[in-house]
Amino acid sequence: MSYRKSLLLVALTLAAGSVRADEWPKWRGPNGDGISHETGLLDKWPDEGPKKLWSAKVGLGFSSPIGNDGKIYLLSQDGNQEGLQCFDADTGKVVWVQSSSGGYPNNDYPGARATPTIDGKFIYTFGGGGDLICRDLDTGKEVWRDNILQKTHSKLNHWGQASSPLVTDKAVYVQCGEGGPIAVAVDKTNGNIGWTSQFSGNSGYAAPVLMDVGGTQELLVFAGDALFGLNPETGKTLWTTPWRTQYGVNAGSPIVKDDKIFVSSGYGQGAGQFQVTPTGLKPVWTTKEVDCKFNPAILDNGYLYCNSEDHNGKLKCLDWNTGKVTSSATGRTMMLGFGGSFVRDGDKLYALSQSGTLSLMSATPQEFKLISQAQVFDAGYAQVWSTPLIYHGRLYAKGQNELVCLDISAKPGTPQ
Amino acid sequence: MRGATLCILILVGWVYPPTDLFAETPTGLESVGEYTHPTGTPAAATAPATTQPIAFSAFHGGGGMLGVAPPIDPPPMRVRWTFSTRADEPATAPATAPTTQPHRDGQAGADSLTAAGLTTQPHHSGAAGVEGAPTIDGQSVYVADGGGALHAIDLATGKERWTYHSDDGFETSPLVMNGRVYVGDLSGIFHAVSVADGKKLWTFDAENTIHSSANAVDGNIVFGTDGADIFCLDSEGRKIWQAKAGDRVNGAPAAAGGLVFVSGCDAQLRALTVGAGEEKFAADIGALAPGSPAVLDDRIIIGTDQGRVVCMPRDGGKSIWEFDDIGEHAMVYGSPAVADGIVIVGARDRNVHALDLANGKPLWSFPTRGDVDASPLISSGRVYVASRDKHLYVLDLKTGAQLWSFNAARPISAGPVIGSGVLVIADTAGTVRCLEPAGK
Repeated sequence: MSYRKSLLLVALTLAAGSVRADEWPKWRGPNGDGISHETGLLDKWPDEGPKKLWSAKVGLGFSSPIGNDGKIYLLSQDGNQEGLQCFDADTGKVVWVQSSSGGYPNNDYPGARATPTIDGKFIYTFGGGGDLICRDLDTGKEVWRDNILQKTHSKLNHWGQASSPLVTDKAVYVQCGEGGPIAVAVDKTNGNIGWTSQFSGNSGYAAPVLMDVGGTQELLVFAGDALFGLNPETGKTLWTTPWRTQYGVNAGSPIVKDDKIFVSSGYGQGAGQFQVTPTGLKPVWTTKEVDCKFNPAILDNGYLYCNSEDHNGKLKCLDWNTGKVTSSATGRTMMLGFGGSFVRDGDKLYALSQSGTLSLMSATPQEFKLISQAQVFDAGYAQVWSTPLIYHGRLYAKGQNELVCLDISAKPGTPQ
Repeated sequence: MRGATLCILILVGWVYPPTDLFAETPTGLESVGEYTHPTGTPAAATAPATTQPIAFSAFHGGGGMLGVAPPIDPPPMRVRWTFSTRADEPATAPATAPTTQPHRDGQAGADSLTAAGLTTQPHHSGAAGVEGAPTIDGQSVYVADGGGALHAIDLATGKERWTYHSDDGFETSPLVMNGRVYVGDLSGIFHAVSVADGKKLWTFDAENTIHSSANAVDGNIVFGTDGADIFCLDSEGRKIWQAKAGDRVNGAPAAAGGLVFVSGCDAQLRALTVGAGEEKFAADIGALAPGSPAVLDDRIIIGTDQGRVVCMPRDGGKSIWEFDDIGEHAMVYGSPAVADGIVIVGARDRNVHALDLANGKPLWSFPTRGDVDASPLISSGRVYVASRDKHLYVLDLKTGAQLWSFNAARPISAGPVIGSGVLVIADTAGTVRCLEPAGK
């Protein structure tokens, strides 16, 4: 039986296997929403910033750390070597390191891009040069690998391959490159190509996302020039709508709630919400108020929290239903730069600016308020685009060549 | 076969030895308190005291980057010579004859000219195409191409005087000063080359890609990098100071009144002191700015992404005016030119826009059929501007009326340069042309 047939015949439960709520095994966390549910965190930080527990040398890139079963995993690049490092979350001790050639080959914003995904006993990485690799989670030993660009006869995206792998119970989904299929489904057990998308053209940089439409799964691919809904079992196009930016940079994962999709990108393109209907995609609203260039918005309780490219990374809150801005961060100290990122926990944002300033702020539909701020890296760097990780009372953040672990837990006796 | 393929691929993965960073030995761990960031920065040079102005030739006229060129006789113009940066190609002139017919036919914006994907390739144009404007100095013109060759060409004859080769391509304009040519490349190496023979004098590793053309100030050299650094070097390549922006600095720094002005992808306009690189102010300009600011006595003009031109006072205070009516909020990629109370910008709405310097009101716009990425020049009451629609246009500064045009047959990203009574233009295919007024 072919892989394709097996996909068609098996009633798939496409959501990945359940994980503990306090694990963070993939890009934007267990639910893919960027929201942490940690408790017992400091309400504000000491004046000198959170205590640094350890730091480690790592390579270049914009891939984000993930946490699972007491370990931290980070993909980065050193020269032409792309390395996956596994650290003990408490001590920073290196548990294992695996590397190979084939990273992003250019000097134009060098380094790894996509964030790894842990699924069961395996960890999947998609390198900047198109290497899709499955490794044993305990040892890091390679299980299989394939170069997606070679397999799909695609050219490297201008700024390399960046879509974090979406792993389901059967398949791994990533975007491809330029001039070939926009996306590919790979058998997660052996790397065999399941399908290549029906549509060929320019891929984007965003992680694919699954959406439940009336009980049927659709695969959302935010490609280079358009948003696509694909049949996740076949790669056939279900619907599409144009979404063009100046350089084909659609990088932020689509945000999904019920039958609605929110997308945004930089270069003045703005943002928009669409509704999936039986006859295709229907625009609901668009706005030029926010341009999420790289890091996608976080949807929480009916409101979108966005880092907009305008004014050097301005945080804004939008009403999910109307697209109207309800509050904005003010002042330079809260500007993140267009590559800045954040995670949300409760009513707080843990925001990392692209120059390496870490901020704790409250963010509500009514206001953004800075609570604490700290410089957490030893080396200054202008392109910190990696998203911070909150994991078991610690915050992990990647700078240029360093990964730091900060204690943000509220312990007995700690001033609140 | 599939299994065998996998084995080969896995073996390939093991063939490459890991770097020190990714060695199995856990060298990556650094305990807190013991971490030391590698320094190794050489001792900074001191800024020499300079009292005499030093002549130089630089992108957009250097200094305040006003884009005002020396006088040139009016068009029509004729081709004095043609030079190809590609060594394997004859220096032919495929361009069509000059036209005197304006094309203000309302058809600007034809899709065919951008359908080739040209607008989606912001960098790395190819082997020997030219992205940085040439520089005229005396009787030579200097062109740095995408293949990594710096050409010195005799302005009278078009014959190559010498060629200097870098390991990586150039997308910047050469700076010529005191018998030296200075230019940065895409691998982050900044080169100093002898004007006399094209020999390397020194190189400086800026560690990040250089898209920023160099400017000169008090005999020193300033430029930015994609690593968000701004360097000031002395003429021997010693670092005088290094400052930091919030993101990559693509535009050439402007210099005026003891300050260096830089903008970049962090949407800030920074003023740094010439002597020490100390930040005097950082003003929010609302969007990233790929080009250089034009610095006048009392104000600064800069074009940005999202279709804006911003005018602010010299002290970085609240903007005097903002023009935000560029079509489709398209990016202003090049640097503004300012003369006679008029600001000229090219934009990716394919238009050339003229604004009133006093209040930002639009005076006229001129449609081309391609993105206007090249920085315009103003000379003798005329605007000289190139478009990716393959044309060089000469326009009347006051009215925007087209006086003349030249079809280069290839898209043009680099601005023209005017000097010694002639104009030199280079295209994305690597063809360099010297145009002289036909009346000469």
